[in-house]
Amino acid sequence: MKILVTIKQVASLDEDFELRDDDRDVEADFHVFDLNEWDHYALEEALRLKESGNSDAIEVVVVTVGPDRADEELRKCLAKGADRAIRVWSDELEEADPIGIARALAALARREAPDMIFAGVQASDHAYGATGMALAGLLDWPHAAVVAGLEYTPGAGTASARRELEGGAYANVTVQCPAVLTLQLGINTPRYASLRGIKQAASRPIETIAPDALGLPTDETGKQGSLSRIRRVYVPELGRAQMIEGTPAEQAARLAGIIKEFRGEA
Amino acid sequence: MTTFPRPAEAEPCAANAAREGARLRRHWRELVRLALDASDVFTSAMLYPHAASADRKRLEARMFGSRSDRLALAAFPHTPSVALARLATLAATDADVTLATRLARNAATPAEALQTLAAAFVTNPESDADYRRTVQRVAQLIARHPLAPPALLATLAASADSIETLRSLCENVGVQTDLLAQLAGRGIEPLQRLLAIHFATDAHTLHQLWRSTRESAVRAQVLRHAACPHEPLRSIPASSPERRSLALNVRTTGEILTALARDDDPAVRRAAATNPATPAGALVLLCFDADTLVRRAVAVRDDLPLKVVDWLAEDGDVWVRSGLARNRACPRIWLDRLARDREADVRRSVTRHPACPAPLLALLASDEIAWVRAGVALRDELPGAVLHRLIQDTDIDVLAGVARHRGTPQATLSRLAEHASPDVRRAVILNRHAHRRVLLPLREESYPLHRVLVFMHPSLTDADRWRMRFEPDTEARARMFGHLAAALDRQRQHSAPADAADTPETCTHQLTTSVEEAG
Repeated sequence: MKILVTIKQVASLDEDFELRDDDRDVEADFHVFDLNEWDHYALEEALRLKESGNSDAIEVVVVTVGPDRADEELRKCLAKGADRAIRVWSDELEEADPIGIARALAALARREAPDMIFAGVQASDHAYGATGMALAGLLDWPHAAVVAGLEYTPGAGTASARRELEGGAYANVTVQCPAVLTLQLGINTPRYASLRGIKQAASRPIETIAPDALGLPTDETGKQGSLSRIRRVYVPELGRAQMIEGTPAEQAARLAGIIKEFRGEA
Repeated sequence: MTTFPRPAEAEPCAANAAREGARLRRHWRELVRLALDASDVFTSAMLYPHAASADRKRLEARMFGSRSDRLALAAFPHTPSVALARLATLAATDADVTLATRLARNAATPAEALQTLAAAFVTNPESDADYRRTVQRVAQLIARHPLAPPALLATLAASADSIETLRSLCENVGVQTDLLAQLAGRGIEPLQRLLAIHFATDAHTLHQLWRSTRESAVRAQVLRHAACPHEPLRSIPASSPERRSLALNVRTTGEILTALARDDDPAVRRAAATNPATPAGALVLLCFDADTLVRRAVAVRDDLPLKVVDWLAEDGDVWVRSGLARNRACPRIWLDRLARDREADVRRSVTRHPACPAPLLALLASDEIAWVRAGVALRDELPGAVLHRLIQDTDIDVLAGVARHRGTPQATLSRLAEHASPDVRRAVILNRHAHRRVLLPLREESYPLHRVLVFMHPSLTDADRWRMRFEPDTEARARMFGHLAAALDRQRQHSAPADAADTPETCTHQLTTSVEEAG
């Protein structure tokens, strides 16, 4: 029994930052990297399943698509209790969109043949919320998105998932396994890695694999395998709101003047 | 007790001092090596203030080598001020406005660094519109900075052409009275309310503000200001916000407060209910107010007459009874009754009463609601039998209270230090009376904050702390390295004169230092 957990190293920003000269991303100097928040929950769910039964019989494999620095996040997962870590990367993947990432993950999933794939609902930096579902589509596997509760016995043919919907509603669904589930924040309480786990993870091997070694054709790798492209990243102009000062009567008069201006009556 | 060596001991004492000096140097070198090898620059920054010239250069190369590291340090809240000052110089040299912005935002940036930033960016006239806009942001942040020196703030006030920078100045707690008066004298309307709020604004300026505006929002702030001039306090204004402010001011006369206690607006009556100057007669009226928020405000006053306590103790609102139950004005006879209240929140409040008697604590320690029992467990003074009963409890909140209690036996604390709940384990760490042996296993806590708290616990020795130097969490490691470097610095300063003079204190220090244990 194998559970694949897909994770992402996300970039967070401080208050003051600069955009790249090509206006397509934030300048790299301002990135602060961390493990995507949703992925803590996805990993925790997999580890709980592992610990709920015969832990030797369940293998939890964490996988990411990312450059060398993403090893840091994989080690955090190993420190918490993941059995293996795999990183897929080549420079061609630099400009991959969620579909391009999902293609690389699907190629790896075909090789690993897991019984279940867990992913976070979305990544906190780009917030597409698409990679998990694209992965299910590429694998042609059953799927459930925004899972807030899970009943699953490792090895069982189906899993029951409680999906979070709009307006505070939930939907209980049963999916055939293997399946791809994207897990929502709050589905569990993620653990902290023990000091011993962190020390051991520092020397654990991380398998690094290029997409072509997984049989992913060149025309499906990175930018060529993507369906979208970021054209421009920008911060909308601020300061358009304005406080109207004065007595209530003066404020009302000024407001009426502004409305007339917009109507072209002034 | 200070011990002095006998003449025969003088030679071993000198040898010890030499060994101690060598150990301090060895430990310092290891800290520097670990900091330089770390994946982040924060650890290096924490050693920087304690480093001598050669090490300082190595640390600088690591800390300021890349722009991303400079930016990270400028935003880090624990970066030492000497490192922030160096960064300010670099920002000025490189004309790096983003770095300057982060430094101006950092609350730890020292006064001289703010001066450097202001000289390089704010008072620099040449530049295009985009650059000026960014620089204006730096000016606003400096104007708001609590460590900005008065002279710099005065310069900013004189040269600022943006209302945002002037607003920032008015919101700066460090701005002095004369500068506030000067700003008020400029008659800028959007600043008036902020000036009336500032605690350093004097009566003369407040008087000027009062006379210069009919704006209710400004006048309301003048009325609630501690330095509000007498004149405005003598009449009841028409606007509700102003009456509320008048009702809050402790210098308002009893006669006016009595009138305000009958105001149509419940917010005004509530304000009167909180005012210590409100006469007892008005309180009687307020304790029967139709608005529960007014009665709740009365119930928490610590000057309640007994008759008012009698009335409020039977109030239908739970919060009124809860407020009364934890009020020191509530006498024993009413505590007895409130301790048997049907609402758990009221019983819990009884456990928080400053003078809750022991028999009531014993009663509430057996309450069916864990939240009430936890209230008992949080009290400093507890009869032994009550504490013993609570130790047997299984609720996490109760056990967390027990774990923080100074009377809890060390054996129990050891057991609680292994509890599955992090809340209980944290409570053990926060117990200042926990012994070293209880705390040592908690150095392996998974939660980085817990490890920092253990590290800072007074029961740990420096040797225990030294063993925590391989901390994996970035921020926790920075905190620990800052402490270790400061401790080594102190010990170095102690041993340095001793090396030279070979004074008796050297031996005393040798005997009491504990870092040596780590080896």
